[in-house]
Amino acid sequence: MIYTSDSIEKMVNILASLPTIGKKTAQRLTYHLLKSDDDYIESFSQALLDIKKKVKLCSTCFNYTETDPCPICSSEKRKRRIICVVEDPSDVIAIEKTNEFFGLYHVLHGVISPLEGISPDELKIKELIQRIGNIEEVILALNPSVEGEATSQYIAKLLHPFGVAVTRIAMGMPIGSSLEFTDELTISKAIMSRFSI
Amino acid sequence: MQIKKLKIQHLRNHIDSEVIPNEKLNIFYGANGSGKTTILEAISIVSFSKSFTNSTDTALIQNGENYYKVLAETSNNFDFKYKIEVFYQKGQRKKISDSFAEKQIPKNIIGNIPLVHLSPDLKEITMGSPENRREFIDKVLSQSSKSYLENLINFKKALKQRNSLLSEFQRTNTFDKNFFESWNNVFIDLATKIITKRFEFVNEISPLFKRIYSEITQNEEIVDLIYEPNSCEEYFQDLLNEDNKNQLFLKVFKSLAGKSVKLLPVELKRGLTLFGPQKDELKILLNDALAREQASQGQHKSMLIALKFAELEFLHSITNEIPVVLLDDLFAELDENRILLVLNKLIKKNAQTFITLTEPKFLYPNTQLNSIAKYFAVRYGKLMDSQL
Repeated sequence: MIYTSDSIEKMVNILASLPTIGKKTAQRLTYHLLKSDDDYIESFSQALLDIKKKVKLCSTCFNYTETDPCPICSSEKRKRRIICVVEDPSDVIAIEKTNEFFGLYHVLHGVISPLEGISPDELKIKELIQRIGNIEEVILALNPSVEGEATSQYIAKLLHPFGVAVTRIAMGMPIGSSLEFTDELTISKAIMSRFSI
Repeated sequence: MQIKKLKIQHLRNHIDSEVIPNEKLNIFYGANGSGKTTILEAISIVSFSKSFTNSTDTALIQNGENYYKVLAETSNNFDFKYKIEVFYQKGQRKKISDSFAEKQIPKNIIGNIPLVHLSPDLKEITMGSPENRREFIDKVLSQSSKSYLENLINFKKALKQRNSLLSEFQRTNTFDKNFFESWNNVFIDLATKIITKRFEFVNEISPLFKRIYSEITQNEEIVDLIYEPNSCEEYFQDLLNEDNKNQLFLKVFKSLAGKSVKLLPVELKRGLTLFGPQKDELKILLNDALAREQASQGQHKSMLIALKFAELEFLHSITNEIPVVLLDDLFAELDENRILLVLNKLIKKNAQTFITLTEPKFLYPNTQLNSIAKYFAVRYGKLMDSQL
């Protein structure tokens, strides 16, 4: 034991188990917490308990929510005939930030990856199919990885018999970047998916 | 492409070396184990993010140290200055930063310093198994085409996923058509992209190879390169004559899809992918016979040199940059005539060249060479500029 207290060691180990946090950062955070006052620690631990107790999955779109259905699914303002399919809840936030999409979402909670033992059954794909009823368009907004590609193909095939329009988000130039500093692959994909003006 | 400065820290036996190379020939000489090849490895690290040897990054670190660092400053055809640093610390992820970004990943730096490497170890390209020739193609194309590199990385992932899926089906004795097809489509799509690009590549490089081989051997022997994609046998002649890129793509796609249907029952039985570009062959022919089986040692050496010069000319024509050339201990294997032939060709090409050899003596009398060469004596991982 390099620490003078079991509790400190336990805390460091727990923090270091978080993604992107290494041992050193965990140590710094632990000492920071030790110095903070009781109120702060109180609300910190309450917040931790709350996210586990209060937050659940929306039974419709499977995004995180405290009310079921979630605010997006129950909103009157959303277009109810378009569903945007994403990998993770964080992708919903990314798309919501644009203020350009007013349809509904469906969160898969991952992509198909036989290597990691993730089959379609592990994802919320069946649940997506059950929602199709009066849907006009499904937008597949999965990441452009091999796994994202295979998952898109899988879903597109399942949706085919329903006659619903299935689209994929385009890949291309990031706005605000100049051609000069964009990597060749992005440029070549952007050229491939060019359109006439 | 010109390397203007190279800094090497704690790489093998180099503590802290700095090389200011000359624009043409750079000759590093010294006893075995003095650290000559390490300098070429350092150049490979800033160009490919890894050494051309099979050593792990940890093994590259100097004994008793816990990191290595290589830094290069280069300048291209248009006088664009490019800087890159590769830092590896034991137990951590390799850190790459360059003029474009603080944090770089290997696939973004490959090709920025085009490189042609020639060493006796590479004789497996003409003598060894098909794997060596696929690696040769992949290494050249990765430098000339970012989309090929990306497709190759993705293809390897898709192949692993497809294998894993097949082995799962085999283990559980089940089959989910839709699940399989989604991965199969991704696999075939990427495989097609790789095969068509390899076709184009071999079409371009084979005339260069033929011409250069006859230049260096000055005799009547005829060499040829023929790309034989696994799983396209039935349409092979058809593919060879196809000039239209889109048609070629479609034809390759079709034959892969056909192969997939045909092989699926066997694949399910064995739980393994049995077709695709991971099984391709690049045939090297010498007077219409397989060079691997028929060529003499001397012919193999000439073919390797011709192949490497063809690579140089190909990369030059695609990237508009003359690649940096590394010649590792080659001269131990070649006779004096051929050495001078190789050097003169490189000088004519204006390629910045890095050469290692144990004994520079036989180069001394060649005053024409000495006027454009810079000599470095290497001893125990230290460099000394030397005037001969």
